[in-house]
Amino acid sequence: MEDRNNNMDKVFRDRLGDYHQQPPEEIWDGIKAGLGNKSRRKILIPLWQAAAGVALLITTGSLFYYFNRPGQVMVAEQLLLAPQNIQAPTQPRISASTEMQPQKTPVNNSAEKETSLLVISNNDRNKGLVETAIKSEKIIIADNTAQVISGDNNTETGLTTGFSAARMPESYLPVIQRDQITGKKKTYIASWEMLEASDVLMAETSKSKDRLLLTAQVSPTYSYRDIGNIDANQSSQLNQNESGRISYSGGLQFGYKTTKRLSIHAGLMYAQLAYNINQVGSYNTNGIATGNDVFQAPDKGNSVYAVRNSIGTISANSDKDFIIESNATPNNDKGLIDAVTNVIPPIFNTVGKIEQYFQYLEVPFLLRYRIIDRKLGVSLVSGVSTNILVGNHASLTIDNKTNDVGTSENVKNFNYMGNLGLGFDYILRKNLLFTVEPQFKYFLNSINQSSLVNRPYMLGMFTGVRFMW
Amino acid sequence: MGKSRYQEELYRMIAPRMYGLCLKYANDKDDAKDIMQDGFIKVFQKIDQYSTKGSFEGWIRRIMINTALEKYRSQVTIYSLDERMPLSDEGVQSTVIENLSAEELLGLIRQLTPKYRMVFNLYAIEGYNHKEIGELLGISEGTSKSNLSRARLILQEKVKELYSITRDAK
Repeated sequence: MEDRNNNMDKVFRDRLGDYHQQPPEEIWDGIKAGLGNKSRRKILIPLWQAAAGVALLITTGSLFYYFNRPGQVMVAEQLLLAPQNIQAPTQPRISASTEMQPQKTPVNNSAEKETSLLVISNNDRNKGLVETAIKSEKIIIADNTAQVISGDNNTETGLTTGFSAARMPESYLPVIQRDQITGKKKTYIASWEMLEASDVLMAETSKSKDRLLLTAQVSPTYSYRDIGNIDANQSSQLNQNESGRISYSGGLQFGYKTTKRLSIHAGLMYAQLAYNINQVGSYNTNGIATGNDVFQAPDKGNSVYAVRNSIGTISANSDKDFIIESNATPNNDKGLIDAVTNVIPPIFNTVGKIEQYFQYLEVPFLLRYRIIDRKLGVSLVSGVSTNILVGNHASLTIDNKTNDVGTSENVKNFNYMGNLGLGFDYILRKNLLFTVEPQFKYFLNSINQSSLVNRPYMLGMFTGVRFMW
Repeated sequence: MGKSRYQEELYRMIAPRMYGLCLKYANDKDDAKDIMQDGFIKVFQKIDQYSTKGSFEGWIRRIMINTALEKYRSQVTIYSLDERMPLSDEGVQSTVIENLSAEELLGLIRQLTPKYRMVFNLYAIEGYNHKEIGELLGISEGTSKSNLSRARLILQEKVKELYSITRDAK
């Protein structure tokens, strides 16, 4: 019995589960009639019709101005409306053919007022705006293709078609897409209600949204320097002995989006530059023959020596009990150790390295230009920064012990730096971007005040977030 | 392009399946037409309410089924004379039913009274369970179960009648 029942159920299910039959045409007529009975207000988008009403004229006037600024990108909120009493059965409707030609389609139901499609979005970021600006609407938003709609130039009113329409999919079935902003799947379905003037004004003001930007970034950086080739010997020696270090940088930038793709930023960052001076020997001062001039410290006490390097002399603190010398000090200036010539240190301890650290407050002014403007965006970044020196010290590391040595002398307090980078950003959710920005920063002037020009540079991979509102 | 064109395209895409569904639930083609029209009008009026949970077609189906149930709701709880008719336990061989065409099967369920037809469709074809059917029809689970058994027996009877085959015949 049970089996028989189940079998029977199965037969019905298999045969009738997907049962379909072409319905008689009169059913659709009945549906249309049923829908037409409800009095609806509809959007009329006949640009070529003179709009009535002062409020509308003002709105359209300002929108017209907005549309016709050069280089303006059309955004979704710019919807025009016309009062309901305009009936123009023969007006060309804006159609969604791929050639973007207006097609004259006859009115098919006299019970309905004419409605025209208005679907605009060529700005991914503003899709969300469209939804909020239009209260009960969901609008089909197709892929962004900014094409000027092939509506007519309305010579009567002087309004030219001021908005772009996205290329519509041929069928207006519900389109399930990834929402460009949130990344979630959303269904867009067309439905039509007339916008009130207030809706348009709301859309009007909302066009200035998403222009304020706040970026927070951090990066590990590799810094080194460019010393040119003024004196080949010197340069090569210095280059041999010195090396760059990994350091870090980070900070905040405020920005303003001037156009769809271009934004300007200014902010405050912290950057640290660091270098190594390798091959530094240290000596115990106990028992050093001080008869030799070379081992006499310049005016700072017996056990202090200065190490010359490409940035500047490091003046060591006076209370250290070691001598440092570096192979990169070919000159025999006073106060410098000449490790190359005839001096043989009495006791050679170990070779270590000196690390120089320079901390800057950086005030960047940057331009970011989006060359690819999609959910994953790519921008060109360039700008200049003013660097303010806030920290400067050097330390000596020998045998894994680090001693603070002193500061580098003759370092400028202010420097200018050029920035060049490539920004990649990814929309996490509305108003929030995740950014990864490899950057190259280069001092435009020398870091020091000596004759040896030293321009540090930094390479960084800045990761961060950007808020927009 | 107007709204009506959009609606029409949507309608054209899914109408055959929805009409098929209406035919399953309706007493006859006239009723099917009413259910179809009322159902689609509701679909287009309510389209704003569609959320992305579940498929769009599934949503439309549910509206259609609800429209069908609405139509016969008053009849679902009528105690009809059918109840009293004894039915034999003898059914027909499965093979007989298996050989019936879709149209013949449709004709069979049309012969059920709305009460039984609803339950049978919802259970056997749509795959609802008795609890869900109870909620949809406003009856108890038990009633749903007994209606289903009854519906099956009636169907077996009808197959026998219409196709003049007894269990013993080959």
